[in-house]
Amino acid sequence: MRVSVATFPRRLVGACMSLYLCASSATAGDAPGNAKHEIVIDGELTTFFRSHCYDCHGADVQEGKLRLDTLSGALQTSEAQETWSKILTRLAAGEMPPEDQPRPERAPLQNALSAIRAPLVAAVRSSVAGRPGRGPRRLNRAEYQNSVNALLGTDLDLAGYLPEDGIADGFDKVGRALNISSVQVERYLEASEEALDAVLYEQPKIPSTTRRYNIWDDCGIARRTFTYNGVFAESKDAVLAWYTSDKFYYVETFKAPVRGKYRIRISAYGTLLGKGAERSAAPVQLALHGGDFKSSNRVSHRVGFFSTDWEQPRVIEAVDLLEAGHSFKLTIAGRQTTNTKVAEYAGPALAVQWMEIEGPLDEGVAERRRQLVFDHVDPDRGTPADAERLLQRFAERAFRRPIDAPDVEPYAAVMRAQFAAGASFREGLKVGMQAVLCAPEFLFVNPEAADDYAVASRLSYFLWSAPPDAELLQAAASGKLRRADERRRHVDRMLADGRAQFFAHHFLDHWLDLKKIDFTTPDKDIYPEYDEPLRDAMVRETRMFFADLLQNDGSVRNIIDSDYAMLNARLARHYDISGVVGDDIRKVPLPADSLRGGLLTQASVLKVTADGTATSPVLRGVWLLDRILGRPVPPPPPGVPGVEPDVRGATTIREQLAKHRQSESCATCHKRIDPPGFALECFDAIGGFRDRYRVVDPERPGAEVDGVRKKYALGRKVETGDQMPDGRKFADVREFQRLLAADPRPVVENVAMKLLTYALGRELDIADREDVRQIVDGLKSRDFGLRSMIKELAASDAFIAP
Amino acid sequence: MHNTAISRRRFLRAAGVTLALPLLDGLAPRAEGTASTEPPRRFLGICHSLGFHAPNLFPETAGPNYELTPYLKLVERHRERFTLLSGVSHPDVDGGHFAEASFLTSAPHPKGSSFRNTISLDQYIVERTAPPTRFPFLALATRSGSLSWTSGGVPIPSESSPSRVFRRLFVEGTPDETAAQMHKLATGRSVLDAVLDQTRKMHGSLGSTDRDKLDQYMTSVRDVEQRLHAGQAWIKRPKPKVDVPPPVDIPNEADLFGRSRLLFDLIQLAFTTDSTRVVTVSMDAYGPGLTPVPGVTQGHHNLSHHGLDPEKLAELRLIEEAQMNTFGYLLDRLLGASEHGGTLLDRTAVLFGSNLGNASSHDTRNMPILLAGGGLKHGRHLAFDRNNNYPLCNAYVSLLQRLGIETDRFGSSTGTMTGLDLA
Repeated sequence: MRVSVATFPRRLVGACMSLYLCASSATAGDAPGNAKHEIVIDGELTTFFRSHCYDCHGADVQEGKLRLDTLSGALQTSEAQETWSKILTRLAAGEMPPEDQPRPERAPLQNALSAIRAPLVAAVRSSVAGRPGRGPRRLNRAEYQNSVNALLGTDLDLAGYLPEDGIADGFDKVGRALNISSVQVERYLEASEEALDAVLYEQPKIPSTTRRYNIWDDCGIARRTFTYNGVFAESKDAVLAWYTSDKFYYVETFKAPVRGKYRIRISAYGTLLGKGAERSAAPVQLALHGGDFKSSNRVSHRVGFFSTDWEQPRVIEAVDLLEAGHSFKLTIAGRQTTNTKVAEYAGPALAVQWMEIEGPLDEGVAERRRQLVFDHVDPDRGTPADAERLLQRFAERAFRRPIDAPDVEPYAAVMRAQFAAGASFREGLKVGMQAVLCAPEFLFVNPEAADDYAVASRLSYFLWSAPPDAELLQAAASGKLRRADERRRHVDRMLADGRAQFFAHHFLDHWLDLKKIDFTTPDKDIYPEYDEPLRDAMVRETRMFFADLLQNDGSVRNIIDSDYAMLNARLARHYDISGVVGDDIRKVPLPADSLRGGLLTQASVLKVTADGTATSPVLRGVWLLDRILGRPVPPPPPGVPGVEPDVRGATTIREQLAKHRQSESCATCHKRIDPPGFALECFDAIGGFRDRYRVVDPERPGAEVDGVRKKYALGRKVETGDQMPDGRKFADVREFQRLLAADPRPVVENVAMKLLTYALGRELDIADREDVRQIVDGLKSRDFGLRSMIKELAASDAFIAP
Repeated sequence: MHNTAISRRRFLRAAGVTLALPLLDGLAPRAEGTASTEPPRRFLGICHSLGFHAPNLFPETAGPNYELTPYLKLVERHRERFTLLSGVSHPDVDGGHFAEASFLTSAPHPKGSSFRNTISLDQYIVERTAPPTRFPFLALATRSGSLSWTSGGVPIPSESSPSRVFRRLFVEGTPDETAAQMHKLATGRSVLDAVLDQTRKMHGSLGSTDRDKLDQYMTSVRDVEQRLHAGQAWIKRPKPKVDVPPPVDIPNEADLFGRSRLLFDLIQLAFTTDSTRVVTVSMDAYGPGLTPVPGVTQGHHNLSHHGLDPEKLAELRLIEEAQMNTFGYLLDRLLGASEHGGTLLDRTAVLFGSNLGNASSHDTRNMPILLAGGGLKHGRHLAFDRNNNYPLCNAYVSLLQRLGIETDRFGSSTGTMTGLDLA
C-alpha cells in the first residue's frame, strides 16, 4: 500500500506511516496463512475511514478509546479480533457513523464491510482454541435436576437446593455466567444425598386407595370459617360457595401417604344463589391446587382451572404430583373476595357434590427406579463386588460417555473405604454414587474431550435440558453424529419427545421473560378484570404459539404478525373476540380487523413489559429492540431520571417523551426506542386494548358497570403513531407490524442468534454470527420455518465446533 | 413437573427429622482459652426492596440540627444513634429492582445482559476477618432474595424461616442425630477429596482459556472441605443456651414487618451469644397479598408506583411508617442487650436502606441510607449532592476500617466517607 502523504491532512501522517508499516510486514510474509488473517487497510478502506471515522477516532479525538488511523489490521490476537468485531458490528448495524454525521454511500459501505468481515471471520475461525467461552460449563439448575432425575428415575425437585444461576446474553445457559462457589458445592453434596436417599432407601410400595370426600365432612376449616361468617350454604347434595379464600375447600382428611402422583375427580357445577341472581357471561370456574395448606411451611401450586356447566354436574379429573403429607384444595377462579352474608348474596356460585382421590398411582415407576440403581441386585444382600459393578454402570450413565475402570477409580475408592469401615451395601454404594454426582465429569458439559459424545450432550441439553438418551449415545459411538443429516434426524426425534417441553418452556422463560409474569400484580382498581384464569391463559397462549410453530415448522415471520391466535374463552373475552368457548387453548383464525396477531400483541408479552399500573413506551421499546430485533440499546447515561408515568392523566407519556427527545443526547437512542413503544401503546398493562387511558382520580368517579362503580375513569386518548428511525411513518400497531414484516430478516436472524446462544451456552462471536446469517439465507426457501431453523442450527459446523 | 420450592428433605428438616449439613458452620473453631477479651465488632446490612417516598424522609437541612421529617419523627428517640445519608448512590448501578443485587456490592448495570456481580460487603468482611464463630455469617430474608454474593458473583441463598435459624443456632440434636451428622461430615469430606483429585487431573489436560470454571470449582471444593473439617470440631461443642421460646414463623408472606421483627429478635440473640458477627437481611416487599397495616387496601409494590396519586401516597405512607418503626424496633433490641459495660449497638454497625431512591420511577439514585451504631459518630444528616450523587461505597470503606480491616477501597469507592467519623 502506498498513499501519497501529500493527500493527507497533517494529522494523518503518523497514521499513514503505521499503516504502511503493518502492510509491509504482512507482505514480507511471516507464517504462511497469516496473510489472510489480516485486514488489508488499503486505499478504499482508508478513504472510507478517513471520510467517516477519523474525526472522532483519529489522532485528535479518540471517542470510546478507539483510534482507527493507527489501528493495525493484524488479527492474530483475540484483542485485535474483538476490536475489529466491534467495529464491524457497529458499522453493519448503521450505528456508526452516528446519525448526526453524513451517511456513507451504500457501495463504499458494503465494500468496507466485506473488506473487514472476510478476513476477520477467517481469523476467528482458525483460532478456535483461543476463542473464549468454549471451555467446560457447569449444568444450570434445571439441567442438574433433570440429569439427576434421569439417572435415578425420580422426579424430585432439586433445583430449589441450588443458588440461582447467573444470566449472560439473556440465558442461564451461558458458561460465562455459570460461576461456582462454595455454596454451590455444599448444595451439590446436599441435593445428591437427598436424591440418593429417596431411591436407595425407598419405602416399599404403598398400595393405591380410592376414597370420596365432601366439603362438609372433610374441609373443616372451610366449614368452620364459613359457618361463622354466615357465608356458607348447603343445598341439596352439594355445598355452594361464592368467594375465594386461601383455605377454602382444603381436603384436611386426606394426606398423600408418599410422594407420588394422585388422581382427583370432582363432581361440580355452576349455579345461582339468591333472589334475582343472573348468570355471568363466563361459566363458573373451579381452580384446583396441590400442596401443604396447613403447616407454617405452607406451599401450594396450581394444578389447573376447570370450567363448570350451569346446573349440570360434570366430573372434572386431574392427575398431579403431590409431596408426602400434601393434599388438594379448590377455590373459585377469578372471583373477587366478598364478605356478603349468605342471606344477602345473589349471584353465581360453585356447587361441589363430591371429590374422589385415588393414589398413589404407581405405573411401574418404582420398579424402574430400582432397576436403574440396583439392576438385579437385592440391596439387602448386595456385596461390595456388586457395588463396584453398579457404580461403574452408574458413572458411565452419569458422565454421558463410555468410561474405563481407571475413570471411576477415584470414586470407587471412596466407596471401598466405606465398606472397609463396615458400611452396609446401601450406605457404601450411596457414598460412591454421591461422589459421582459431585464429580466434574457429571457437573460439567463440554468437558476436555470435545468429541462426538460432547455433541450428543450438546443436542440433548439444547432440546431437553436433560442428558442424552441411549440412541444419541449410540449415534455418538458410531461416529454418525458427525453427519449433519443425522443431527437433523435427531432433532425431529427429540422434538417429538415429551422432554422437548423443557426447551420450549425454558427458552421462552428467558427470551420473552415469561418467568417474570407474576413480578407485578396489576392494580385491582385500574384492572378489575385481571384474574388468575386470564393470567394463566396469557402465558399458555405464548407457550402454545411457540409450540405450534415448532410442531408445524411455522414461519418465524409469525412472530411479527399472524392471522391466527391461540385462545381459550377467557383470553378471547380479553381480546374481544367472539365465538371461542371452553378452557382449552386452540388455534383460532383472527378476524380481519383484529389488532391481535404475532407475539407483540400477546397479553403475556405486554404484561411483562409493563409495571402493573402503567405502561411505558420506553420499557416496551427497549425490550422489543433487544428481544425481538436483536438490537439492544445501551443503558441510559448516569444521572438521567426515568420518565415517570402520571396516573392522574395530567400529561401523557408522549408529551413527557417529546420533551425528552428534544435533548440531543437522549434523542439518539430514543429515536430507536420510542417508536415500537408507541406502536404498542394501544395495549394496557395487562394486554387489553385501550383507546383512552384509565386514570384514577378522586374527583372523577368511574362509570357504573353492572351495578358496580369502576374505580377508574377514562382519561386522555391514546396516540399510537410515530415514525421509524429511517423516517417511515406508522399510525397504529397494524401499520407498525406491516413495516416490520416488510423486512422480516432482522427478526428472523435474531431468533436464530438467540437459539444458537441457548444451544451452545456461550456468547456468539463474529464467525458464529456469519454462520447464522448463512443458515438464515438457506431457510428462505422454507419460509423461515422454526423447526427447520433449529434443524439447520444443529446441522451447522458451529454446532459441532469444540 | 410443577414448581413447588419444597422438597421432601426440606419438609422433613422443617419437621426436625433430618440433619442438614452445617451449611454455614464456622471456618475454624475458637481455641479454648484464647477468647479475646476485646468484644467483637459486627456488621448488619438490611435492604428494603422498595425504599421510602423521599419527601417524607429527607430533611432540607443538613448537619446535627436537621429538622424532623414525618418518618424521622418516628425514630426521634434514637436521634443521636444514627446518621442519615442523602445524595448517595452507587454510580452506574441502574436497572430499578435489579439494583438490589448490587446493594452491598456496587457492581454496575445489574439489569444488563452481561451483568456479573462482585463480592458483597458482608462477604468481604467474612473473608478478611474469618470470624471465629459457629456461623461465619447469616444471610437472611423476610421472604426471598439475598444481599450476599460470593467473590465469584454467585448469590448466597438466604434463609427466611426464623424457627429454622433458631434451631440451627441454639437447639442441640439428640445423640443419634449428632452421630449421624458426624458421619455425614466425614463422608462429605471423603467425597470431596476424591472429586478434588479428579478435577485436578481434568484441569491439567485443558487449555489455559478453558480452565477458568474448573479453577473456581477446585477452590470451592477445597473451601467446603475445610468447612466440613471445621464443622466436625463445632459439632462437639455445645450450642449456646438461650432463655427464650423458639420463634413461630409467620405464614403470611406479605407480613413484611412481623417477619422482620422475628428476624431482628433472632439477630439480637445471635449477636449476644456470639454465634455470628455478620448478618444481611433482604426485606422483600413483593409478597402476594396485602401488608397487614391498618388502612392499607392495596399491594405494597403497586402503591410504590404511586405516580404521585394522593390516595396511593397516603396508603404508602402508612406502610413506610411501619417500615421506619421496624428500624426503631431493631435499635431498641440492640440497645436492650448489654455487653462490656455498653450495649450491643455500640459495636454493631447497622446499615439500613434501599436500592431504590424513588420506587415509583425505578430510580436508583438518592438511595435512602441510615447508619447506626458500630462506634461511629452519629446524630447528623450527611447531605450530599442530590443531582450529582456521592458514592455510597465510601461509607462502606469507612465501615470496613471501623471493623479493623485495612483497606482504602471497596467497589466503586473513591475514599472514605466525608463527615463519617469515629465516635
